[in-house]
Amino acid sequence: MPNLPDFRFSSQSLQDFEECQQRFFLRYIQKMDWPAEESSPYLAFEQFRQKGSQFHACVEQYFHHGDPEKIERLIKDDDLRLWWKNFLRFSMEQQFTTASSEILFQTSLQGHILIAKYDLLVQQEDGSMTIFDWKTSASLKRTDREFLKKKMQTLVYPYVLCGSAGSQSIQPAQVKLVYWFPQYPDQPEQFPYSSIQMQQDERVLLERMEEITRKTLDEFPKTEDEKRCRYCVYRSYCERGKRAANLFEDDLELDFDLSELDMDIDQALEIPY
Amino acid sequence: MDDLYYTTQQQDVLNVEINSHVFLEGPFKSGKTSVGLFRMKEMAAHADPTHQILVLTPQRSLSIPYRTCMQAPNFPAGVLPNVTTLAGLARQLIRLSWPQITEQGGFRKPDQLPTFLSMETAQYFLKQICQPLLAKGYFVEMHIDQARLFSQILDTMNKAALVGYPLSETAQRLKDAWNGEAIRQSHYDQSQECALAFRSFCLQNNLLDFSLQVEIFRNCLARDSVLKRNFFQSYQYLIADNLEEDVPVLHDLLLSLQGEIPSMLFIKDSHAGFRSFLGADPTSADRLKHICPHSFEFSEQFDISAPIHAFQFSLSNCIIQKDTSHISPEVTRAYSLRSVQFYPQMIVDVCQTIQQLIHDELAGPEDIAVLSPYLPDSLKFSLSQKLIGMNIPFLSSRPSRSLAEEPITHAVLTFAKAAHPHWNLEITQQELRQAIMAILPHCDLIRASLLAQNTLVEKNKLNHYYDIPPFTRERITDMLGNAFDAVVDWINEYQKEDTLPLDIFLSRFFGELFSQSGFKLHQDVDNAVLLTALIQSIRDFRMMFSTLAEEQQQDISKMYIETLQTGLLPSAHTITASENDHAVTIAPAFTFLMKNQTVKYQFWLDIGNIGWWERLDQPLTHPYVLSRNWPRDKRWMDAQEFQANQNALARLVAGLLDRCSEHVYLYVAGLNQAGMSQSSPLLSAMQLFLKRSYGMEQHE
Repeated sequence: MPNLPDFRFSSQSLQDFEECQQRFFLRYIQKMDWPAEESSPYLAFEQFRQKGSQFHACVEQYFHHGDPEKIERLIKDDDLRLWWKNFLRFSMEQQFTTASSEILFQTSLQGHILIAKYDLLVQQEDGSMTIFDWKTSASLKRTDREFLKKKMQTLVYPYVLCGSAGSQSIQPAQVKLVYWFPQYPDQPEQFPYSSIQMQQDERVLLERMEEITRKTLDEFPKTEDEKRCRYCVYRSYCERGKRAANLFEDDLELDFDLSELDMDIDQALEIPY
Repeated sequence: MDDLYYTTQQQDVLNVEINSHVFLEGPFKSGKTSVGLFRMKEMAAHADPTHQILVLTPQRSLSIPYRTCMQAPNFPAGVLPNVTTLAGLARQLIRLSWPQITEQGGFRKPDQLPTFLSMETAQYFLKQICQPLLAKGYFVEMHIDQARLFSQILDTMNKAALVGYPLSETAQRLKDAWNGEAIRQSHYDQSQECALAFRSFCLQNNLLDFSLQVEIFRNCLARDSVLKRNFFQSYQYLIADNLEEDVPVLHDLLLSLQGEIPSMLFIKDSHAGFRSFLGADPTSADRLKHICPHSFEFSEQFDISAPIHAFQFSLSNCIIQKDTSHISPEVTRAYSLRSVQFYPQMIVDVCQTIQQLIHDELAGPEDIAVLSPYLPDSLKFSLSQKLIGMNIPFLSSRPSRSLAEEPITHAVLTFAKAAHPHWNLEITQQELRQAIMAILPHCDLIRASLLAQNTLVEKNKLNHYYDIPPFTRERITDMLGNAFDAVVDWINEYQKEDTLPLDIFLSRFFGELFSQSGFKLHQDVDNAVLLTALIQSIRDFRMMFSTLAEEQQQDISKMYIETLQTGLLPSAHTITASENDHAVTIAPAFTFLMKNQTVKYQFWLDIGNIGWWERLDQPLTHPYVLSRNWPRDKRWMDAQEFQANQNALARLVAGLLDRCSEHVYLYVAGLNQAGMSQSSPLLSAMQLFLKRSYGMEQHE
């Protein structure tokens, strides 16, 4: 892999590498824009993404002292309103000492930089910390635990937090990752962390990052699981099909993570004036 | 924390207790930003979610050292600093606090989300608002094209917001200072009327142009102390660099934060203030010194070439007509003055010299910058053609470029018209011919013309290639014809389904057809970048204008294409050339200054061009009169104009030479691009400099 001065690993880039090394290569090394559709039906997919990002925005406003009633008045979609009500109920049940939303953390592991953007980071009175990730799903069934357990996000998020120095050192046993589903508010998926888990994760992450950086440019093959190509914008570039597949009719576990999709922190908006 | 060596002066700043306010001033290359970077790392080692770092710069290019520092493996782990600008901060506040601020901000639709306007979309709406007024004869005495008219009205709005006075005072401020024909005074009134009508329309529809974003940000923070506390409470540390290039409203904000953020570092370049035409105010920045218990001034500049420094000193004195008692003999090593009769000769000589520098002096292309006051298309084209011919990489930086100029845009929109006959938009044979050449590989002009002539029917319908008589088909060839038929088949299939918005249509068209093997766009990365920008532009337009289109019972996609054709491109995306570390820079001088980059060799084109000295002709706005430093009871006379231009030129020359480490080539063209002879104060200053140098030599 060439030396890219602005390159940083994230759970999304590592997940891309797990799923298709060519996709990782095109997206993060070549930084290639390829304006094909990702999934069909097109308008429904767009609406799903809009709902997801508006849900994230509402929650962020809430944690910046927004009045819940005023926030709700901005919601026009019925699904989104239901998610919001579920969130408010869930939030009332929690004991948050301090909460920071949409916050970026970075750590380095043997010279490799790893970043994570948390939907919500909560510190409880006893000093323990919980990372919340909002999972809005397009499919009718909730993402299962085994799938989540294998996701790079589940490794990266707590690891980056514990690898952070800052003014307070954070013990792994005090950290927990919670996936919370607005459609299934009573079925959050929790992943407590520990020193042993951290060591294991560190080994996996380091191996993966070392493997990637050792590779030459022609060593990023296309995935063997061609089903994935149906939801990949690069499918025509890779000569792996024409039309995007239907998001609602497939049994493939997909996770369009909205918080990571727009995480490119170097793309911060600047109004040309 | 750092292996870098710091001078005693720098060390003195770094020794200041972190939880206090520091003001640091000095010339370019005196090590101020290095102190800022060290301080940021120190802050990062202490930061956590409740003690975060905010880094503010006037524009994104000036924050590059901070972003680069954050990307280094030795940057302390933890929560990352928020590196942004005033505009970024304003948008962040509005986005986060929208539910609270809608009513106090005067927005009429508090139950709806805001829409942030770009410069282009603001111009689009402003045009809608101004049309009835223009029809009534507003500005009729002025000979100015509409795009310039609208951009100046928006500029007056931005100035009001950034300097911090009511928008309704603009005309009076301009009239108070005006010293010319009376008709201009009514133009000021008309301009303000347009601006206020536009503002009212924005408030009515939750639209936020840049000026309204800044005004809402400023007013909300001033009126609502709780909102302000909540917004800034997570910040413990703040660094504001290049304060001299920032605006008074930002300085006001920083002043007001002295009690809320315990640790602030302010950095100011003593001889800059290049963005004054955008509202930058170094005098206003000096106010921050008074809230800092620790103030430092650096004087020594590092890595400055002695001959260049001597040349800078002498030339600057010539610009401001100050006597120079001594001109250092080494100054001759700093510059070459080249005189040519015709403009094209200058282009040839510049490119040949660049080639020599690269081949004989082993300079890297990145060591070279070609600079002029503006970068018109013709100049850019001439330079780029020559450099391409010499195989020298270059990076041409201009603020933005219109997507409408790109051939691929025309090509895909031509096929979009064919796929949507109900828009009733005509396709010309020439358009179709160009579109065919853009998408079919190895298709020459003759075969593209034959295909276009024989397949285009009924204004915008495409027939199949196989319907063409065999004799003509043979001339076209089956290979091209079959590819063309695949396009027609795809369009026919598409027409059987529900119509899609234009952006989605183009995405599908690209993914399912044009980027497939057998088409020219297959693995064509450059055109994919352009199409990505185009599709995003159309999507933004759809999101922003769909309600308006419904109200006017218009098709949003057709509306986009028509708007594009009028030249007011909504959401015209800035297309930055791909970052190339090894390329010659071709840029307007001010753009180059804002990159804060030093090069070994600079080429100053056509120093007799008055553009080096004179500010842009903007009859409806005024950077100096609309600033805080202008006394309301004074008139702007020729003497002030002259002095302001002299000062700006002296600042520009000093800034450019600060960013040159070896040699500057100055070109004088006897006749300009229009074939006219010319002169400018920069050329006069150079002539005075030569006279003085010659006098010195004679004397010695």
